[in-house]
Amino acid sequence: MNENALCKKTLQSLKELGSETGPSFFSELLGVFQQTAVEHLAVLRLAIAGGETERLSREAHALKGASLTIGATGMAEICKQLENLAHAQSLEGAPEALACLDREFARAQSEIEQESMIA
Amino acid sequence: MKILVAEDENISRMVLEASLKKRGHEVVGLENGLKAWEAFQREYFPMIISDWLMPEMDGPALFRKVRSVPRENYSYLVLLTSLEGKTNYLEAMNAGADDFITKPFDADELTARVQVAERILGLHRHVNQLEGLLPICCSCKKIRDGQDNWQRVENYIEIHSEARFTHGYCPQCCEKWMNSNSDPEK
Repeated sequence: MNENALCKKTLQSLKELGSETGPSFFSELLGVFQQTAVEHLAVLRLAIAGGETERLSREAHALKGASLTIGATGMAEICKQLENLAHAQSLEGAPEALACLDREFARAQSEIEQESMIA
Repeated sequence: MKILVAEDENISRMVLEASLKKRGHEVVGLENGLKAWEAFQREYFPMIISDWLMPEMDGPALFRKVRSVPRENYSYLVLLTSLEGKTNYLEAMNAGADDFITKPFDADELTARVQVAERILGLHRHVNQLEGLLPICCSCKKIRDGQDNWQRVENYIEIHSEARFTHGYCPQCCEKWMNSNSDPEK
């Protein structure tokens, strides 16, 4: 993958939003995103292991929303795949999609760290 | 304007709150429909922006509750959604939604929709004023204005609103006039 895990344009607009609302907004937002993503990933893992499609759908939907807002489009796309699997009542390919999501989150995290250093 | 935001997803709520505050609005952000409903019962919010899927109480359920309360002032209800499809759109409209914002929202679109809300709320206030109690003569139907002058209904409405009248006869008066061969007003 050669694209960034986080959309630069989205990050820039969030940074601008933060510059007008409060100096800590942007770093706080990135922090909350990381914490939220870790929590959602843990529940997604449990839902897939337990074959709970409704829970999988709910968590994937929530993480998709958070990812899109922060500009993590790759993560959002995988969440959408998981959501579709859950709607189809099928978990075939779900563990592989989750592994992709973990890798994509790791990429996003390293980009967040770079952002934090710049900020 | 005071805006109530109901969104269970932290990131979306934080960004939405910051975007609205940046535009000078006062925002109360809560994480589910039930908390939003409790807040609404305590005080009036001219605008509510709510997510669709939430634990405890979802967006349409919140809107149905809000619409069930007879209040003098109108609340403009906007549903946040990433769901598509006509059925969902209709369900939300039936629950009382005035407008929709698709997630992740675009800052310009948000500004535009809040402006529309402000315009509609302004019109509602104006209508409320017009619908307030007016002293009217039982016989000639003239209305007493604030200066104690009795005015014809059409004059009063033309002064207090943008409405203008075109004069004509309704079918019943027209028929009466044809039969009596005289002006129905006389």
